[in-house]
Amino acid sequence: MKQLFCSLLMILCLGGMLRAQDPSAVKLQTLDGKTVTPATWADGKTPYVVSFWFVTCKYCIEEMDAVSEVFDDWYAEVPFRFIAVNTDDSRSLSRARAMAASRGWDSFQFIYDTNRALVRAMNVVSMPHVFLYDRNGKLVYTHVGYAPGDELLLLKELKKLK
Amino acid sequence: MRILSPAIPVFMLLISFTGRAQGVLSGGIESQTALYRGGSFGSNNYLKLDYLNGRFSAGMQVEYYPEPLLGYDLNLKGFGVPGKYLAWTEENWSLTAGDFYDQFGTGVIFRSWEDRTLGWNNSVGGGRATFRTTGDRLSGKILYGAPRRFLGYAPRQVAGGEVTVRIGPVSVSAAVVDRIEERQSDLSSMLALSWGGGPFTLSAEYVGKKGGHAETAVLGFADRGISASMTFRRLEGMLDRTGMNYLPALCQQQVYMLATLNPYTTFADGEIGGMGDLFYRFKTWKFHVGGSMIYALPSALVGHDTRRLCYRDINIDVEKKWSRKFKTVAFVSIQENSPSHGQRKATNAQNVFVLDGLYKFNSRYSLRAQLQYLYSEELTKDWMAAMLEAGFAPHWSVHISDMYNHGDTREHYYEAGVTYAWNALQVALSYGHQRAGYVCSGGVCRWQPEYTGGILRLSYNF
Repeated sequence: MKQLFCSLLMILCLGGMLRAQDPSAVKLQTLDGKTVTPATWADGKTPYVVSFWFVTCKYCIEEMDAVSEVFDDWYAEVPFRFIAVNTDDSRSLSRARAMAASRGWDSFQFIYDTNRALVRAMNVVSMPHVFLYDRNGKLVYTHVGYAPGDELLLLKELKKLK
Repeated sequence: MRILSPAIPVFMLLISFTGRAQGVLSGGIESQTALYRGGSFGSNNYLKLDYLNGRFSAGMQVEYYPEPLLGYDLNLKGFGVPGKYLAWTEENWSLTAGDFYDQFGTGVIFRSWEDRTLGWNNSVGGGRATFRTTGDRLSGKILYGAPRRFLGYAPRQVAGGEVTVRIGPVSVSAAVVDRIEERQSDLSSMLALSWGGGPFTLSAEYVGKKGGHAETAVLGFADRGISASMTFRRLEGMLDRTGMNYLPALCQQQVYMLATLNPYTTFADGEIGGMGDLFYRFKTWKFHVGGSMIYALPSALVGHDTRRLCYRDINIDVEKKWSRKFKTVAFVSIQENSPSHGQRKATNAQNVFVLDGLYKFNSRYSLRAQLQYLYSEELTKDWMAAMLEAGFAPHWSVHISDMYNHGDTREHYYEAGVTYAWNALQVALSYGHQRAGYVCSGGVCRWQPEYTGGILRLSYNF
């Protein structure tokens, strides 16, 4: 026990090294089955939001609905990309694709993380969980959970990246 | 503690050697501690750390269970570092030594994964190599190791490899997996095909092993406004006590509490079935119809020469946005479940009805209300439930719920709780009386005994 806490203390003392997650090497699938890695997400032009969801996560879907409804207005103020990472297993993957198409989330980019490799790499514990990165891929904001209105905080942070 | 001792110093050494090169240290903490009525307690705690410096990465997961939460295996009690790894990742290949997770195809032949809600973790401790050609036309991986068991390893090994060839919209995968226990080999193989064109996707997979096989086919259609998905699966003799076969129940995953009271679990000895979903959006209306039907195969039944019903359900939900402030969902689920997987004729039927409303007072305050009713003439008969949740964005939410069995036991199962979220931190405190039942996900179920008590949940990542 003592050894554990000493070690944890040492880790926390390395504060200068503590940074955002870098999951750039994780292999993910696109809608058409191609392999992509998060290393390609930072394009040097626009900030991007990474949002984790699954089909029975009611709060995830509410958050994505809320962003989808105002996406065009937000985009007019700050051009950005919304990358929706689906974490369903192989059983629900097809259902997730169908659900995403039917809900009008046309402005989102969909990525599938069927064995939750990105979830582990980014240490996501519960969902919904959104991460906001600047155009160079630096994490600037993160939020876990969702209550209606939380999306406005995301907009506020996005505006700082104008 | 024996396992912990070498892991942390080695990890710290690696960091100190590479620290000047400005690597990235990230991690996550999750803790759940319950105080049960009667004075007993349970606590599950996880700390995960990952270090990345260029192409090199290392990490570990520390777990501490002074007393596991009720429903979790008592063999978890104590400290452990069951997840530790070193990895080197180039653009077209990678090597991993230590504990890792992976999946071949849909996972029927092999899947190692973690679900802390279930207390499930079958990571593999050993080695893995992956490669892919530029353009991803050819990719593959091989692995060898021992699956995790509690805070150590199981007395068996798994070895396997998978190759995928992609030509345009078509990809073909082949895999072999061997499970070795007491020098006995149990070999299984897989062939999978997938295709995507326009709004359609199609995939099919065959897995065969000595005395067993599984066939899966998935057809998807996704277009603006209307989309559908259908999955068929037949499996026979796929019972695997090593836990490396991923055989999730092929039925609808439910959101509402009364609809999850009697979950179905896959009959790995032999079942055939399908699941389908249809989504449709029209202006401010969203419709979903989903259903599943699963039968036990005669070969898996004793004394029956015809298929017998294991499970069927049909679910309809209609979502309507009445204004910018008010939204409702009406949901119906009709379910029939054979607790004996078709061995006996008796089935349990239940009809679940839900009304769910969300009202946003302004950009910060919202109120959600749910009314649920379960009608059944079997088991514990009728139930009713209600839930109220107030949201105070961006940090707080408060909820109360009650589930009442008025058909038989006349018992209340209640909960009240508050959640605070700030950036990557989430803290939730709740108190309630929970019913006994199975908590299931992905073909794995955990028996949750009845309890009354308070639970503090904390999660944070950095």
